[in-house]
Amino acid sequence: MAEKAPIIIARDVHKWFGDFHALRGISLEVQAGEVVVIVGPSGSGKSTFVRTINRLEEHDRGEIIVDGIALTNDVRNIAAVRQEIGMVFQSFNLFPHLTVMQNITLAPIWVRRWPRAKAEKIAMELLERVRIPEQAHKYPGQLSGGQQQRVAIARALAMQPKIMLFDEPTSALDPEMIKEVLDVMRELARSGLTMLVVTHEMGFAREVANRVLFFDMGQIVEQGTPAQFFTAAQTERAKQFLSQILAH
Amino acid sequence: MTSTTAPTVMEPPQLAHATGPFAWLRRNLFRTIPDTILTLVVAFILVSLLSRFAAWTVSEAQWAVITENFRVLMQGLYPLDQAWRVALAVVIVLVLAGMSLGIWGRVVASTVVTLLGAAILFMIVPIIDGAAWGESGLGYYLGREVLPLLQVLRLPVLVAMVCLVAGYGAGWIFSRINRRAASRVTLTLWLVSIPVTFFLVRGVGAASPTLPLVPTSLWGGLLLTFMLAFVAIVCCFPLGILLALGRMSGGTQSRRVTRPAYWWLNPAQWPRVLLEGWRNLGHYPVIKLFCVVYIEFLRGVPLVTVFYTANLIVPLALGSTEIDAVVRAMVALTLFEAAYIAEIVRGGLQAIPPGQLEAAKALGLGPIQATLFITLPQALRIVIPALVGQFITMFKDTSLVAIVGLSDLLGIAQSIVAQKEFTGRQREAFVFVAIVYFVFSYGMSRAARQLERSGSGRLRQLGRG
Repeated sequence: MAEKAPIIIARDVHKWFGDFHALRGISLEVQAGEVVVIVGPSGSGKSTFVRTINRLEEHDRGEIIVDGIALTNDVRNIAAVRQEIGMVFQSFNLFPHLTVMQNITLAPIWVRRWPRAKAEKIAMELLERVRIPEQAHKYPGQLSGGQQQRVAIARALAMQPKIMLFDEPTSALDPEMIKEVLDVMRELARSGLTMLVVTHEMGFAREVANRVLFFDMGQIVEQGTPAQFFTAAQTERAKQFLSQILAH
Repeated sequence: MTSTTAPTVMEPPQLAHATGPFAWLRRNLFRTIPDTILTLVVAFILVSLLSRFAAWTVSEAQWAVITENFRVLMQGLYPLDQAWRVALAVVIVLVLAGMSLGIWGRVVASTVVTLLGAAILFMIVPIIDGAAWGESGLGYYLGREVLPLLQVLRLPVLVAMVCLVAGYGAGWIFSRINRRAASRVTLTLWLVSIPVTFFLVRGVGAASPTLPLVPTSLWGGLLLTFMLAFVAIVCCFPLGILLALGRMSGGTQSRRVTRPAYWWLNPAQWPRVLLEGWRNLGHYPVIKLFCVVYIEFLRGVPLVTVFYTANLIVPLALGSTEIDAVVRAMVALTLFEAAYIAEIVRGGLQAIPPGQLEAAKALGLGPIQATLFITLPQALRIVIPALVGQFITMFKDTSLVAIVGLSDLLGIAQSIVAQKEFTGRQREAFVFVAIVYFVFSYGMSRAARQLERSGSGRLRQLGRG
């Protein structure tokens, strides 16, 4: 995997919210096809970092290069990068006024400029992939949380992104719905998509991740393979975090 | 409950279900002793205030002032031989309104029955000869004073009801056949109807044989009121949306200024804060600044002053009086109301969760696309009730043009009672004007409530049109 240039490069990324120093020098390289899981206590900056990658948050210092395009204030660069990155949010953020089908085809039709028929055909394929083709003409409000999140995944995939960002995709779900979403994500990971996943699902991390990053206080405190991280964490902070997670 | 192990099913406590008018009165007006006292006091006040008014209405009022001036009240000085154009425009709008209700409104049967009932009432009552009402007393009064008024109203009300019901039926049938097409066709017809009705009433040119130009100075009465309200509502809506978007724009560009608490007590902090403020001003986008100033300024002055400004200062500034008074009033009303619409729309936009815009951005939609497809449609759905309220206010606000000398419904009423032969008939004239305003405002509000209750007001049904 390492022979090609990394698909995501972050160098010394800093971010402030007012006086709060949210990201304190994050440096990271992600190879194409890699599945990186980010864990850490809340407020550690993991969501913020993921959101800087498609510039939902502007970083204040350092540089981020996605697929060879540097994220700067240049609007064209931002637009180009966003087309290559799909994002799944904790709160789904489906568009409530559009049907499932319209949610999925909106961006392909208006951003990729595909003909409607093509967009709808691909949307149906994606809905089958996330196993809810029968919901295509319902509105998001008529679906369960797990179904909504799977629609959100299909919506992101419809743009055929090279990278998928998941920002705590299962945190807002009832326990019995978490599995259906994780199953879809597992299948995506196997398909070779580059994925950055912020999650508290340690089982998922252990099983699917190529690499686990541990964030604390806006820094990457520790990183390694799931085997290394979960069985032999190096830092005190990571050990403490893991013991709390596993204790409950 | 056949087995003994089944959990006990508790019946919900029975509420008193007595019905009928007396039960209603007891439940709502005489439930407790304080209720009863309050009811009696309010009833006494109402009766003492309204009894004289009621007596005046049925025994004293001389409605001839309305009957004789009915055409002027409705159309102003619009030429009689061209009056059919106004009637046609009204028919177009009414049929479309009926269609809209048939398609989007969950119109209850009772509404249709009420409309038809009103139509039949107005058709039958005036046929009865005035002489048959008796030679003296109430019957004589009603036959002599009220009957002519009803006779004058007969045709307009009849036509209006028939148009509404016919439009409703057409819309209902159309939407059963193909709801999507029905919605699209009706929306298109509404858009087309705006220029059509305007040019129908105004005419296309002096030389045109069928539609000669009728200068706006001849428009008056309810016609002028409607034209002012219609044009202003149609124009202020997009303008208000643009202002709202302008005011919301650029929020991400300006940097957040962090000021230590009580910085103003510490002179050492002043230069830093002032410097940041100055830098921020540079970030403050011109468009946003313009929109904020515009909205706050127009919301801060009374509408009358805007009418005066449009009437006196604009011709002065332009160095000519060529723009006619009605157009000036339309422009003034549009500009004024756009500020209010803007604030309503902004409220709707602010109610959209930020995640919606983030999701749109993450999908690669540009700012204009995100606004058009995601935030604006949702925001407008949310503010339908407030918007309709503002439109009703606007319809009533048009009466202020009477102050700058235009003869809208109120202006005509004023000039009628200023005539010698109708001296002392102010009450009749203004009561009639009030009733007309009420009928249309209430109709608008009812129609809006039905649109709201139907699918198009609810969020999840949006895209269905």
